[in-house]
Amino acid sequence: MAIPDVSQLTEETELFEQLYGPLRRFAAVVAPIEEDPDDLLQEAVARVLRRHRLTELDEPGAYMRRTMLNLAANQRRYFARTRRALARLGSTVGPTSDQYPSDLAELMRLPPAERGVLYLSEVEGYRYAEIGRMLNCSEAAARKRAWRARRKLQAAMVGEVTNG
Amino acid sequence: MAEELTQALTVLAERGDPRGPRSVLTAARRDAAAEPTRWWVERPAWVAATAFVGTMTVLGGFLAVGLAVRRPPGDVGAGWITRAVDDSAAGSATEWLLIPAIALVVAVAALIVRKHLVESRKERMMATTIDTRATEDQGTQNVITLERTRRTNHWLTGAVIVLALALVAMGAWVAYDASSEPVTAATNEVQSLYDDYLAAWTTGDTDAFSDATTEGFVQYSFGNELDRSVVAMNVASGIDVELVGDLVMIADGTNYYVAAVEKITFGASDFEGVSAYRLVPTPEGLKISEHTWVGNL
Repeated sequence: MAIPDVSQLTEETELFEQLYGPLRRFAAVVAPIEEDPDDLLQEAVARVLRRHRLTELDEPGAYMRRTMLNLAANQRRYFARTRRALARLGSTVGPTSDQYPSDLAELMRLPPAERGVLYLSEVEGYRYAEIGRMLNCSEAAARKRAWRARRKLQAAMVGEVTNG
Repeated sequence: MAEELTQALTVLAERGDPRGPRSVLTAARRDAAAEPTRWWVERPAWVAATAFVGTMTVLGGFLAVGLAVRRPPGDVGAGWITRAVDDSAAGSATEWLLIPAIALVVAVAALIVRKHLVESRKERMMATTIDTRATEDQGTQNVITLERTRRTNHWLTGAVIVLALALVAMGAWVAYDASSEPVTAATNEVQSLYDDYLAAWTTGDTDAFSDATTEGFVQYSFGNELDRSVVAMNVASGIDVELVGDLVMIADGTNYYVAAVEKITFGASDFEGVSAYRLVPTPEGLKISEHTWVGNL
């Protein structure tokens, strides 16, 4: 990657300022509860910057969402390992999804990709075809992820009602 | 449920205190500059694909050279060695495919098993780290951060890639070998003549023996040189000769040389030795002109 000049950096900064809000919210949704959303976004941007300038990308928002999803999936595994290790010691460190209200706790149990699709669909109002393009999957795959996530949430709610 | 879900997702999306775009971007630029791209680590699939394409290109080059310098079918020249047995060369080569295939399966299995072991070890390491730090300062237990440990199993991954390439290479070789023109005509004639010769010994058929040999036929055995008439008398006594294993043939463009491990049953005794035959072309077809026996009979 060539060293950028000042105008390129300014352009990149302006672009990131436009993208920051939606990306930060997406990061907050897909990141594990232990991870700060800005840290996830920062790492995703750093990964992108190692290869390209943000301004070089055709769809920087989509690219960074995909990067964040991959990172979030890695982090989810990492934190799951940590929790299992802590469980052996019989102690807890840091926040866990169980310490949040039940609806958030159920959401946090979903894989990041499913949470991301639900968010983009339910809150941001994107169509599945657009979500598929953003997350590098087919429309059918995006739809299926959302369906699977809803089914899990419904199952969790039914379980809660059954258990009183 | 939809409204609750939207609310929950919105709450989730707004969690934490945003640091702001400039702060995040500045920190990301610093991180990107501090750690250069290691594409060969971050993109193992590309590495594997590149290695695969490279290997196939080299193999393709060898194949092209092999096809270019291939002898025409039927021209069995010096150095051309084949096994004149029923199974084809491709069939025997296929057996060798099992070696890298099994090794590949074992390596993949090892990779999977090791992954689980590493996961377990990471958990134990974390547990130990947390335990140690917690003991040092119970009050700070809630702010402990754990360093991520990256333990990619490069050796096993490399082994899997190499084995996969070996498997592909073996497959290509088998395909190449199977596609080659067999010297079937020549080997069939040699095999047939050899069978006739052995049958003559076993049945004591001197006529068949004469048909299979040239007039100047000579047998060398224990340093003795026996001409055709003397050998015919031995044939008439009926010695059971049996081929052990495969027949090996070498041709020099005119003559054929055949070697065989044979078991001889003479009376109540068995003997094993090696016979070497020289086959020469005659107007009536191939005939045996020399037979050398090295054995304990």
